[in-house]
Amino acid sequence: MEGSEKEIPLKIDGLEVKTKKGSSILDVAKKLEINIPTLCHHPALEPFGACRVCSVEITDNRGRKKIVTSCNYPVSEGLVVDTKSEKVYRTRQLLLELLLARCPKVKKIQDLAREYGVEKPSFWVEDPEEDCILCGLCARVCEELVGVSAINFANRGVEREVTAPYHTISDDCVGCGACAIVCPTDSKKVRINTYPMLEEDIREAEEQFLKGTGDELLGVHTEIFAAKSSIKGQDGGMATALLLSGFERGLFDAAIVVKRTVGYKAEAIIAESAEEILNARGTKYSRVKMMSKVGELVEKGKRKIAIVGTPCEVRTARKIQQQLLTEYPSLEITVVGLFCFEAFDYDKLKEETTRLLGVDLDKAEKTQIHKGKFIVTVDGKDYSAKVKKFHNAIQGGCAYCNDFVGRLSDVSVGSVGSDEGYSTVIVRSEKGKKLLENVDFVKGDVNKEEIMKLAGFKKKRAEKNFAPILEGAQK
Amino acid sequence: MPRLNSPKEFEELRNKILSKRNKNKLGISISSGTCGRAYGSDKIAAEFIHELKKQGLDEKIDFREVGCLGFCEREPLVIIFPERICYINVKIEDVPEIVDKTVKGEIIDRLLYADPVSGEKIVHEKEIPFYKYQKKIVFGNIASIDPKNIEDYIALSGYSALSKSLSEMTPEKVLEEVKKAKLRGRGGGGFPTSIKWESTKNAPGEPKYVIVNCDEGDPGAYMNRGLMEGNPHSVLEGLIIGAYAIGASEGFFYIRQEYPLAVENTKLAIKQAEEHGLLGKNILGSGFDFTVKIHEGAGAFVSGESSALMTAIEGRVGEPRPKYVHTSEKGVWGKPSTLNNVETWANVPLIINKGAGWFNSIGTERSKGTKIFSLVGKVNNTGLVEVPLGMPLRDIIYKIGGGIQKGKKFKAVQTGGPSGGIIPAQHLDSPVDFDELKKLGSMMGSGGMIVMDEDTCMVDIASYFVNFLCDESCGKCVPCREGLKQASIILENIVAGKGKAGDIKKLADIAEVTSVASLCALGKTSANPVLTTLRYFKDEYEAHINEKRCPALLCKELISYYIDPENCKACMICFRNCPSDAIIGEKMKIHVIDQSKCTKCGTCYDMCPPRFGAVKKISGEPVPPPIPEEKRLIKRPRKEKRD
Repeated sequence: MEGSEKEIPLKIDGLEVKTKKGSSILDVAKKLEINIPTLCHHPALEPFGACRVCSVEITDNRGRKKIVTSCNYPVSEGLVVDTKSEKVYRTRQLLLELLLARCPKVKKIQDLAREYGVEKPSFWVEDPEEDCILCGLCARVCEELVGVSAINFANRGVEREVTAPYHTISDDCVGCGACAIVCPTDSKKVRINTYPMLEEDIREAEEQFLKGTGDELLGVHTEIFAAKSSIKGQDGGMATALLLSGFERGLFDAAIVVKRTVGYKAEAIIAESAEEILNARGTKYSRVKMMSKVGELVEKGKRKIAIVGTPCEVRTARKIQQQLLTEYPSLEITVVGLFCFEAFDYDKLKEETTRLLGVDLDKAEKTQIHKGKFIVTVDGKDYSAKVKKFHNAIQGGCAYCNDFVGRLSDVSVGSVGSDEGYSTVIVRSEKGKKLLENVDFVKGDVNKEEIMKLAGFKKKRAEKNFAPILEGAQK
Repeated sequence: MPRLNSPKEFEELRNKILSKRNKNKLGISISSGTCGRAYGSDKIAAEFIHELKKQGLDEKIDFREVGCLGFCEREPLVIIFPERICYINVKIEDVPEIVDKTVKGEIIDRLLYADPVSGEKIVHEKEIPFYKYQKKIVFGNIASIDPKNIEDYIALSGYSALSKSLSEMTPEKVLEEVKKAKLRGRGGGGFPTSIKWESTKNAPGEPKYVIVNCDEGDPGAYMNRGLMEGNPHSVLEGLIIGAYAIGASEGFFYIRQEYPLAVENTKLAIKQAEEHGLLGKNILGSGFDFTVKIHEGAGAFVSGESSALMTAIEGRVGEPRPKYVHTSEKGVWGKPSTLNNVETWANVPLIINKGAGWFNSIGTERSKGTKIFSLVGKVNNTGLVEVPLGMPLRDIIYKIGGGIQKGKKFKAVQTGGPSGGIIPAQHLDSPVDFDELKKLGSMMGSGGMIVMDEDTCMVDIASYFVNFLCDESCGKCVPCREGLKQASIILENIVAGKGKAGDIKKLADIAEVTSVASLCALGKTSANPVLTTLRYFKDEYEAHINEKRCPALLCKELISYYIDPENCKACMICFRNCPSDAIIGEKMKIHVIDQSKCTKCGTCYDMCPPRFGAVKKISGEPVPPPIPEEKRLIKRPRKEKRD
């Protein structure tokens, strides 16, 4: 490094250093172990420059002094940086006092303000319970890394806030928890209409809704087997069979299922009859807007609801259920989980299918993923390519999901682990067991290892993607 | 219209247009920008067209619906060519007479501007004081240009600067000319235009972009609208020349959606320029390609800030981003982008045509050329005015603006919009240029100029602007968002009579930090209304806080209305008009205000006949006790009066 041409000399707190071109002042300070407070900074995300508490004073090569934010100010030759000047202190002090007036009860802000001599804000406190400093880390991690944008800023100026669009249940949130992890103040805001499911949230939901033996990869369960029903659905048609049975026996009076619409596009619908459920059978490999339907049904007065969804939908459904239960204690939600390694974005998938298979996805009679291949049937003919080749079409969020089996469902169904024509079924609760009671099916052998292999792979991928998020989080 | 493929073909077209025109031909132009239309100018224009046809004069008299002529106070305005006779406050009923008299060469006295002092009627536009002291170069041709007709613009040397640039000048030469002209940005800080251009030109990355900033949002400012509506081709021509100098292949007009006429006229201008081969591929056969799109803003003040504007063009929420690397190097989609104000671009063709030397002959040492201001507030002649830089504030306000309404005293002028500042009477003789305004703690901004009279409370004004900014700040960074919020609360308390010792220091502390630590220029200057009012009118803050007194007698919570028994003639006018029945009075009995019922609406004050002037506003002192009942009777029998 020393003496390399790309090294830029600068002076920081009197220390002469050389550093890489393109570094920020904060990068340099960190290396030198000079402490600069930050609130909206996260090394895995683009610098944002919103909180301004990382302000430092610089003198440029013309001798002019100014306050800049160290998180995004690029070093330049001959730059002189003072991270501890009187002006820097006073600037940070007032900024922290303003933040303390905004969030008087947030410990992180209290501690930081105290370091700058502020015990109590002398300013007006609008809401003593406010806990969001609007650093935007939640919104940025969701957009920049997870790729979902379930949460973002709304409104302008002093009205600015963080929320899911239109202050309503997010259909996009995958419950990955990245927002809650990066939030420096553990704000409640990320848990209104978006559903971060951290490990402790998952444990809590398991205790509340499930019963059985725990397993790191398969989740809590009592039984696991392969099954073939009399219904012609995907594989063994078990998801549809379970729904029909539950419906006929009055375990629920409405089910949120995903139905094909135009071509191979899919849409969540509310099924209130056996016929509607039958119409929705077959796998759709894309994620649809589903969760807002839960709110819709509850508002309509429904208290016994079933939902069939992928693991991300399963866990957000559980969180919504927990929240709704405080208001509607009689609410019962039966959750049927579907195995899912990743889902596709319909429009992107259509593009890729045309590119890779030369067929129009809208004309597909059936699509399936089997033995690592994505198979599209058009006019009775199968077209296929390796699933891996479709990585461009994968929906945002999937790479951050660590659940393959829908571990918070009452009963999970999937094709992995069973022979052709069979579905794998994992029973996880009393409700799941009950749902199975009246279903006619033939049992078959299940290959647990196959399921665990994929589940493990998915979990590892998520862990790898989460590593930088966890590492940079300030708690 | 076939495309023009060379400067020669352009010249031929121009000559053809000119050959069809006659300088001495009769013409009628009606000022029909947004403000004129608000007064019904579009309907009057339709009437003119109808009337000319009816009288069989549509060949003999050219009629034009032109852009805003600036004199808002007297809209709708009509100019009669070739003499440039100016008619004011024209009504639809006046149309037949105007047509008739024009053709006869007669003047309608009734529609002429009358000097407010001497009452003398003024015939010609250029003799009206409002126009007389202006120097219209950018706005110069508005009265002669139908903005929907490219031929009008070409007839007046339009696009000849572009033709000249492409055929006789290298891009470097164009840039050199702009540099020599010392043109500075008309939109805010007065940054040298050529440095911006050069920086984009030299920055790595393709394509390069050029952008017109027409996201004018300052309260009371509308000069950009006037120019975009009235002469869109001049801005477009400037943009194309700039693109040529910089090496940009794509451009944007960012126009706020609230300016539908500007959008309409600009769209048409782009289409016409494309059809003529003045825009698009291989412009005038030079090999230079340049295309332009319009991006309509969605109503955010902050989008006028360059980085926020560029973010909005990208289709994202218009929020500023750090500019430690300038947008001229990394702007739209991370590509080098030059953004200039509408007025800056419109100056470019003039500089190319007339030369940097000519441009340097106007203005002051460091501020060259003219500047258009929106002269509004408590001034007699409100409107858009174009003056040479360096003209003293006093001349703008008194000579052009005709002084303060109702003969009141001038108190201050607010320049540069909410991010600007307030300049008090002692600086009335300061020349108006970029640097002088900055020295006074204000700034040029885009050219808003709000004149305030003695009845204006400076704390209230600061509160108004801070509230405006609370709504219009994007809310991204802490100092701007939280600082403004706290400042607005403190100011609201002060005007409500709840100010506390220490408030002034708190305001100053917040202002200091927001001005150094905010993310963008809007945030950094958001403290200016507070800083300048504190600088020049600290005594008013102190009076509000310490004496609970509003020196301007404006702040409702700090004033009382009181009927002076010496002056009250018991005329019952206030009594009858008080909406809250707070006045105790009857015929021949001096009236008294029941302070417990008074809502301080000011109706009594406004209604009391000026010759009596019995209703007083008082502040900072207790209301005198009501006069004893026995003294209320006025001993002046009516009969005596008749004798």
